[in-house]
Amino acid sequence: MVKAFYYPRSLNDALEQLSENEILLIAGGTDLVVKTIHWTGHMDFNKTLMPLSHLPALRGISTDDTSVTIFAATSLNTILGHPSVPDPIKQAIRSIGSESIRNLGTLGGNICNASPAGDSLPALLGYDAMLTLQSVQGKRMVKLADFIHAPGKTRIRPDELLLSVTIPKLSYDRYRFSKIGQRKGCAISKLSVFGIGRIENGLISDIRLSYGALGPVPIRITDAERFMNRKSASEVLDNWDIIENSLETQLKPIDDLRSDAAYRLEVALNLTKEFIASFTHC
Amino acid sequence: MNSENEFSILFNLNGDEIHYLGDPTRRLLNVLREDYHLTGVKEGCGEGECGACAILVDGHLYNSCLMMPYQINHKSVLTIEGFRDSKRFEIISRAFEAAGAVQCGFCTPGMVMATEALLRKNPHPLRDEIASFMSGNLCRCTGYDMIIKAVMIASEAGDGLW
Ligand SMILES: Cc1cc2nc3c(=O)[nH]c(=O)nc-3n(C[C@H](O)[C@H](O)[C@H](O)COP(=O)(O)OP(=O)(O)OC[C@H]3O[C@@H](n4cnc5c(N)ncnc54)[C@H](O)[C@@H]3O)c2cc1C
Ligand code: FES
Ligand code: FES
Repeated sequence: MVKAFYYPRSLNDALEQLSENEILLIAGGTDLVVKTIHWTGHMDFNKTLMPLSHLPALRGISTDDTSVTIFAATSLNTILGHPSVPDPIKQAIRSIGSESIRNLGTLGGNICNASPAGDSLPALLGYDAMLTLQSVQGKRMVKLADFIHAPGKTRIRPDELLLSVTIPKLSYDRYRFSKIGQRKGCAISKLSVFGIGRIENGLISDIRLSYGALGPVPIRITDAERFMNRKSASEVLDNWDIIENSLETQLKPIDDLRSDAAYRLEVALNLTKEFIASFTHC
Repeated sequence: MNSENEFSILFNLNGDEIHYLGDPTRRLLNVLREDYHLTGVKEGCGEGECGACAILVDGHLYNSCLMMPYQINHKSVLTIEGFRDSKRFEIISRAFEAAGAVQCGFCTPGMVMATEALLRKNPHPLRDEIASFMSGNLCRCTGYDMIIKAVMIASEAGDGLW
């Protein structure tokens, strides 16, 4: 049985509830409902369920010269329809679920669910996304990279909610999001690789490489990035053992029902190589 | 409005204004089937994967097995029963017949609602766009080719309707 349900009238109302009671937040519910529901269709929530998706203060996208801010309860399909959201981010979001899942599911839900296979996460990590968390005491900013610390675990406090996600407007010459799933549409990632970078005088510049479902949390491999910057693609490919080494020590894929560790690592390496090779013709 | 078991919701269901007073956290799929006898809304997987429970909310495709009544407050819900009397349904149903896109028929209401949602967004979709848009609707019988063909036939036959 549902203990209770609270339908907040405003963001402030929601924040006050969070500060006073034990609350289970729900946005689109596409993760939460699937986790909670019994085969009979009954749902047992162990705390007061509080929906967020109807609150205007948590929806929409705002943009200025240098950044784009996506409010947490904006649906994935709304984000895909917005002209200011960068294409590399859109490509990752387009890979999530199906049309109907993207109508219901939100970006805040994908982040707070903190799944190793959350498909927006590698791209958002590559963009150095900053999260704004809010409670009755005010707002605080946290880097996405510091926010998720274990599968399903984030640094959000029980009295806080995720208000918004801010990403810089990066300039780039190459980007790629490769998601490997059981089938093309509507499948959870076995693994994913996100890469983005610039080319300056024929050399790789400001490259970012991040990986999903290749360890307990989505991860960026900054030492490999540093090694690649200011080198030509062929120089990087000639020293591929260094990259391989770095990825092999930092990626911690597991065997599970979707795939096994060895396959995941091998494909991640190949996809990374393919991405670097795309910098050759410039 | 916020008591434990009673929640008051106003919404439009297949053209009728409805006042729902009840548990806000029941599954919308059950509400539609049990309270309003809309049994064209099917339960397949019950977890968002198959699209048998597909409905349109304000013209967009949703899975009713993942939803709760509070999410349709002040919105318009269309199920296959409400869509059945339209010209566009006629075109889609003829196209499904012509392509042989119906075998056991269990997925069909969801497929038809997904077709309507797609053609509203994109009246002349390419093959790949159809496959990708319909990837949340599973069919255990046809092998999908006939369904994709049905959508293409509908798109052509209904030119100007969407
Ligand atoms: C059929 C199907 C296919 C899917 N395919 C994919 C896929 O391909 N890739 C993928 O990454 N995911 C996939 N998902 C998972 C899911 O759809 C996404 O993670 C989605 O973005 C979750 O958003 P939501 O709003 O529905 O989250 P909810 O279920 O509402 O919430 C998820 C978690 O986040 C918390 N939360 C939500 N919003 C906030 C907030 N503003 N502040 C604090 N906490 C919050 C909730 O309390 C909950 O713990 C799939 C799900 C289904 C059912
Ligand atoms: S029953 Fe809803 S998607 Fe399968
Ligand atoms: S016709 Fe039988 S499931 Fe599609």
